[in-house]
Amino acid sequence: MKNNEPKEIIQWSYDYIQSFYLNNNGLTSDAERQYLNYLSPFSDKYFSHLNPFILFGGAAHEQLLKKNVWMLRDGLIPLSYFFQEASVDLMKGKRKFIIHKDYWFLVPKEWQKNVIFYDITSNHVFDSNNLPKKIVITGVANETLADPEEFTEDIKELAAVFSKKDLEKIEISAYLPNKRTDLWGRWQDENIFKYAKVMFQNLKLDIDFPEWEIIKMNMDFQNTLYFEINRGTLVKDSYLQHMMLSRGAGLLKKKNDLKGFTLIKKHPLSLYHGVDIYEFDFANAPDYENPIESDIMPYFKTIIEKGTSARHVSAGWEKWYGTYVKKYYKTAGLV
Amino acid sequence: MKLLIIKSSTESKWGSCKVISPNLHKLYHGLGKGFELDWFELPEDLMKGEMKSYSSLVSELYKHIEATKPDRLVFVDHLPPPPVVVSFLLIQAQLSKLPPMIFHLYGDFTYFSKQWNYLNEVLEGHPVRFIVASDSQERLVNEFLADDFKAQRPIDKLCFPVNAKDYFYSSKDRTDLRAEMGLGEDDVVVLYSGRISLQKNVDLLINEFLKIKKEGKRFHLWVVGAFDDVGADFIGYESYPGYMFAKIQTILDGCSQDELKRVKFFGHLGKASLRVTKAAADIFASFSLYHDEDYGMSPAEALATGLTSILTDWGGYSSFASSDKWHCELVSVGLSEFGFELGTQSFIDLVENYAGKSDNLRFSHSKEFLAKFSIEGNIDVLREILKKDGVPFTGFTWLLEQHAFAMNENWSKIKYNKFLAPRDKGYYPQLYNNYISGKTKENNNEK
Repeated sequence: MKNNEPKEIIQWSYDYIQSFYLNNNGLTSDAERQYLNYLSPFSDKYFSHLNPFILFGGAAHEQLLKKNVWMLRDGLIPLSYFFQEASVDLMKGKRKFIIHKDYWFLVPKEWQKNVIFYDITSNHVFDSNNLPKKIVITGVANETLADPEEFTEDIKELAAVFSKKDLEKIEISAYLPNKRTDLWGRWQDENIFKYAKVMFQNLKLDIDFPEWEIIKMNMDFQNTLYFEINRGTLVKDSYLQHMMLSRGAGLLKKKNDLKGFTLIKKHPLSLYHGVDIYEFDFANAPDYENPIESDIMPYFKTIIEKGTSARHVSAGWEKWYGTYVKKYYKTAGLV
Repeated sequence: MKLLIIKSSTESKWGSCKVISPNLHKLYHGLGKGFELDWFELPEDLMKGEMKSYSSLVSELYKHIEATKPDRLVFVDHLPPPPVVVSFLLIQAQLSKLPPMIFHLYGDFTYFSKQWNYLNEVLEGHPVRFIVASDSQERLVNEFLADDFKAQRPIDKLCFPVNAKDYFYSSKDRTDLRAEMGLGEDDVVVLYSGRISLQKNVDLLINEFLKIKKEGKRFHLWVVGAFDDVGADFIGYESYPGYMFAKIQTILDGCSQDELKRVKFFGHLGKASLRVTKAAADIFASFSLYHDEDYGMSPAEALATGLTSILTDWGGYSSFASSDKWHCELVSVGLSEFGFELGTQSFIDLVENYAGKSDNLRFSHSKEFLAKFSIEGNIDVLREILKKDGVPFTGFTWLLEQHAFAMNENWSKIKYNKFLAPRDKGYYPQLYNNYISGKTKENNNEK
């Protein structure tokens, strides 16, 4: 006789469909693919109901119309380009774009009602009073995430948090993939040893350089400080950070917080970390001149785009634009 | 008997093999009198090395075999894939000059089907034996063996042993942790430990746990382990990192405050903390339907601490079923046109009617389980296997080649494949019906 007990059905095809629709980022152009592949694993995808997304060049507008919430993981340059180029259709209805709170100054007036802000937080925070057992340093050994000067500054900042004696006790490993060409130009000779030298001089000599295959299989990063050398020029919220924090790693204690933000929601991304979502008081924001809103920008863009037959991420427009925007905001003390 | 044992020079990257490999090595070390052990290390990623580098390593291995003339060549670890080592070895060596070979097979046998298929071309007629960890894995591997070869019984069963020094029952551990967690006599703790990934069905476990409502008792679910988004690559479904967490978070978002207090996630725990957590729990539960579940190290370690367990009748889990020496029940598993069908009511009944276990009974269950599944308890089993003669290899059947083709096709495309999906038609039941034993309580009652 057959047992009539009710059965639970398991169909993983449902998960496939869920994951497909919720994370259909619609990579439509070669430019996007090139950009994302170049910055892998920093630009790799991860899943959340906030729809984390990396855009570049404003090429994904049709995809962006499909959902009402997007968490834009991009950094300074793609975001500034997006606010300049994105279609006004995106501002209709209740659609919200969540961008990193460091980039409040990029949001044009007409976009302000559609933009809220995020910050990645970890349950574990380290400083000189709460030492990690291990520090994992990541970045790219060329200028795409941070240039050599910025790299040195960040390593010195890390070294300043801990004493030499503490650093001797802490295990340090670094993952700095060396990409063969520069995202913004032709192949150029990049002396990767200078990055290692900066770490040896400022931290200690005993630094391990594990392979990506080893790092990605490690499921336990508890008691580990994750330190990413990334000035957020291209990708602000990196997959490596997501991976490490979701496996128990922590962040360095932040020094001070920006004013004008009100926390409206906390959204977990893993057992150990999440996203804090903020509103910003634009009415009381400091005054500044935004170069991407000036009349001269479209003029420059037209000249350069007309001179570029095959538009791709290494094309002249992006290179010029990237360098200009980065230098402008750096000089203004905003990044 | 002289054994040349080939092992990986590095620790496995796979969580369960981090435990399985050292325990198997200890088991070999325990063989004692009559066995002379010689270990040879090869890098886990042998295939990825420079050709000069791996050919010199394999050449060194061949020279070593010629110099030491072992009676058996044993491949104890899952990586580097043994068929790859053998193929490389036979580029330089004559088959007749090699000793009989013993291969420990793991759950990744199907994953490395392409590599295992290499042996058809190079190992014909050579004496071999395969060692698997469970009855279901034996059935699955047998599916790929030719009838004449199978008839000579070339497969032996040896469990992946538990290290009794790591997993045992401690009354003090139980009392201390339960006191720290504020638990009393009426609190019943259901524990899951292992990876939290799609095919482990932890989401279903939470949903079924939330159905448990019996007056007079307070039920808790403890989930130990890291979230892992490996998805179900077998059917062409690659999950995005963060998907499993979001899926489970959606369930928790619908829970009441009281329920949220009773479902606790511990994250990844080290060996010592995991043992204490197992001691403090009452019931171990897993609804895993993982396609490579050839054994089940986590349930084995739970049973070693005397925990009552309820597991899916799937893969190696079925080997643990017992109602006398220790207590492990199975949840029925079936395949229908809709997918897997699980008789989860038996889980709810077992948890609701759990009457508690005295310390003495818990010690006794732990002891009895370890007598069969510990390193010490398996030394004689291994001795007997090693004494057996090898069976001349006649090759795997065409099915392995077909399987290898289907798998590789799928992994390269990462696209959902209906033909390989779990249901009662297509390829899945042909292979994975071997993972269902039918030894459930409901089936026994019907008989």
